[in-house]
Amino acid sequence: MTTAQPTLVCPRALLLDFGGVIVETVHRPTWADELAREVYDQLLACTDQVPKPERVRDDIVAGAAAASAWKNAMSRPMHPAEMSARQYWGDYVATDWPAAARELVLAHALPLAKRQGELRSERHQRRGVIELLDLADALGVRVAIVSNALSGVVHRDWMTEHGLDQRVALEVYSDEVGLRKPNPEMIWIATRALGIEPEEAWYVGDNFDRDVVCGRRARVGGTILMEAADTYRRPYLVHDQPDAVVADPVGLRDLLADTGQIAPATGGRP
Amino acid sequence: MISPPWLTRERPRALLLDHGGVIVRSRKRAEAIDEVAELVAERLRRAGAVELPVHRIAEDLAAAKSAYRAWKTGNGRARTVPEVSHRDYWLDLVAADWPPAARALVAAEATPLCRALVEASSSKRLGPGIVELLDWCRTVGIRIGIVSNTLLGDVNRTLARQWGTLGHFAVQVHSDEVGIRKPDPEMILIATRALGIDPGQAWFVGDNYDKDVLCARRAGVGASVLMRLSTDRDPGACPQPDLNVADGFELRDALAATGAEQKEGAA
Repeated sequence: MTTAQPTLVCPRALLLDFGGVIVETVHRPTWADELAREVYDQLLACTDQVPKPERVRDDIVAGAAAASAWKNAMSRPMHPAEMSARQYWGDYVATDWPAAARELVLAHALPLAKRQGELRSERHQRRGVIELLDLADALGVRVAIVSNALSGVVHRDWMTEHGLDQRVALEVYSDEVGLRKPNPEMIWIATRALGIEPEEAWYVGDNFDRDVVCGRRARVGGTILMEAADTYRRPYLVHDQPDAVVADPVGLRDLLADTGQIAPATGGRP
Repeated sequence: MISPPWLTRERPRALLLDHGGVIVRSRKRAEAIDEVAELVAERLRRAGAVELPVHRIAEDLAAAKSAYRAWKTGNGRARTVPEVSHRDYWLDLVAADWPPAARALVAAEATPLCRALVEASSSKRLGPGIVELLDWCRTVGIRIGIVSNTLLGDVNRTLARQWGTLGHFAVQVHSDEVGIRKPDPEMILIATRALGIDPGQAWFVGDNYDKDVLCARRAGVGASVLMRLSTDRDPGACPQPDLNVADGFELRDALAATGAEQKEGAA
C-alpha cells in the first residue's frame, strides 16, 4: 500500500534507515540474561569487587530502559548528540557498582556495546530490499544508510555478511559520528559525501519522532515513512507528517519506479 | 641479565602487556598504503561525488602516517596524552585538503577505514614465548591485562579470538577506545583500577622507551619491563626500565625467579 504526494520526484540518492527499512528487527528476550552472564564472567576474571549476578542483570535491564527514555527525549532537541558507549556503561548501567567493576565495563565499553547489539536483536532482511537496490542501480540513484546505532559495527557486519555493503555508497551511524537522528546533520553527512543537495535525496525511516522529523529538518526532497513493527508507537505527539507512507521495501520500490518512470512491479521483478 | 634486586621483589598480582612488540610481532607490509589508497578511491567512485587519483590518496596516506608519528612523539612529552579519534585521523591527518564530499565520506567511514589501514599495515603473529608466558601466569594466578596504543583495538581483540588467547586477558585498555594513549599514566591506571590493585602490584611490559618505560614510571608500577633484543637496547635512553627481557620466555623466567625467592623468604 503506497500513498504518494504528487510532488515527489525521482531523487539522486536514497538514504535508508537500517532497522525497520533494510532489516526487520526482532527483539531477543534472553539478551539481558546472556549479556549479564558474559559481563559477570569478565568481572570475575578481573577483580574481587564484583556485584552479585542478579545486580549485574538488573542494572543492564535498567540501563537499557533509562537509555531508551533518554533517546525518546532526545528527539525534541534540534541537534542531539549520541550517547557514547562509555557513557552508557559508566552512567546508565554501572554507576553504583564497586569502583573496579565500573572501571572494567568502562574500559570494555565498546566491545560490550557491540555484544549488546549482537545479542539484543535478530535481524531479518526485509522483503524487496534487493529489488529496491536493483532499481536504484538501474535509475542511477545512489544509496546510503543513515542510522542510529548502539554499535554501528554490528550493522556494518550484517551488511557485509549479506553482501549489501558493496551496494551502498556509505553508511552513517550515530555512534561513529557522535550525533543521532533527528539531528539533520546525520542526513547532511550523507548528502555532502554524495555531493548533492538535501532536496535531491529521499530519506526513508520507520518512525515519526526520529525519522520523519529528521527528514523534515534536513529538508530532503522526500520524507518517506516505511511501516515497521513500532512505527505508530510514538513517545509523544509528533506534528511532522511524511510525504509518503510505504508498507515495505516493495512499496518503496514501486514508489521509486513511479517517480522514475518505470512500471511498478506487479508481484515480481520487472 | 636480571639484576639481583629483582630476585627479592614481590611477585606482581598482575602483568600488563603492551600489544605490538610484546604480545605480537609485526612485519610491515610495504604495499599497505597502495592497497588502502585503492580502497578509498573505489569508495569515492561509488559515492559518485568526486574522484581523486590513487597516487594523490597514497601520498596523503603516507603524509598522514608521518604526521601521526610526529604528533605522537611530540605529545608524549605531556602528561595527559589524547589519542586521535578515527574521524580526526581521516579528517585532519589524511583529508584536510580534499574536497568537502570526499572529506564527508571518509569521516562517515572512518572506523572501517581505520580497520583497513591497521589490517593492511602489517602481518602479525604471536611473539616468542607469549603462549608459554600466558599459560604460566594462569597456573600461578597472575592476572594479565593489555595496555595498548592502537588505531583500532578491535583488531587486537579479533586476533586474540583467532589465536585462542582472548580468555587470558582480564582487562584490555586500547587507546582508541578510551581516548588517551601512553605515556599517559592513566592508560595503566585504568587497568589497575579495573583489577582492583595498586599500580605497585603490577608489572608493565612494553617495547619502547619513550612511551612504555615512561608510562610505567609515571604510573608507579612495581616494575617497568622493556622487551627488546639485547642488540636493540639503548643504554642512553632515559628513563631506563627496571628490567630488560628479550621475549616471553625471559619474562616468564624473571617472574618465576621472584616467586621462588618469595617462597624461600616465606619459608
